[in-house]
Amino acid sequence: MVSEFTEGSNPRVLEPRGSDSDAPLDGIRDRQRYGLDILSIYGPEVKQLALVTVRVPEYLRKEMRKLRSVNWSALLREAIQTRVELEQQVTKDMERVRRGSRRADAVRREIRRRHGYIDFDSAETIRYWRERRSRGISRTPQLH
Amino acid sequence: MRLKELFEKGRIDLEAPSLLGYEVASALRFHPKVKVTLKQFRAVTEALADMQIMREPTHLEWLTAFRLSLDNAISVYDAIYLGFAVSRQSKMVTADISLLSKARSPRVKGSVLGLTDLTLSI
Repeated sequence: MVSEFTEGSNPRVLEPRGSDSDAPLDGIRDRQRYGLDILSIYGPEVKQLALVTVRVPEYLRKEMRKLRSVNWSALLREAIQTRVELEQQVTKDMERVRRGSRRADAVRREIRRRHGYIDFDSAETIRYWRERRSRGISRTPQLH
Repeated sequence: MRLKELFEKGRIDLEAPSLLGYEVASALRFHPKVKVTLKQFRAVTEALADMQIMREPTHLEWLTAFRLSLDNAISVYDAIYLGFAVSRQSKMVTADISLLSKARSPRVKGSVLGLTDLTLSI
């Protein structure tokens, strides 16, 4: 099923002529099939395909056509997916951030009071453990 | 400390994959001189949670990290931090000199910055 989303209206269902409606869509083919200036955007659930109209200046459209090796549909999908994920992230509670920071400072002060200044590079410890885990991975038996 | 200060003021944002929590715990657990108490450890983990730096990688960040891991012959543990920076078009700041030297691709070189090279004029 393919839906066209237009501003201020309910999605309109478009059925491709003479083709499997569940088949993944290709931007240029879709445009030819529906006679619309569209690029298909589909996420992890590819059976439900939503069509999103993207308007670009004519010169850009010509440039896009020259670059046939670029999968514009995938490119846009990735960009939209990233933006959606970013927008969905919860805004940070800055008062809570400051509280956490004060708490971390308090622990640091307490340790320094007890042990004095310690020249310790935690990056070295982290590196050591990352390397150990990576070495373990490289020993994974290979398939024959 | 300057980074933390700017973060507290909301002038910059700090983000790291949730792997950071394990690495901080490991650094405390294997500290060569200080035996961190359970109370202190709890305070540190709570402080980290409050600071909201850690989050799960997005799908795209995982894919980017995996690609970077292959392209630069680095572990996924290293690459996941880089995946954040590359995907968000931000900078990964690290004190880990060896990671800096492993950066091969221009994409990675442009996304990683040594802590000592960091200048904060904000």
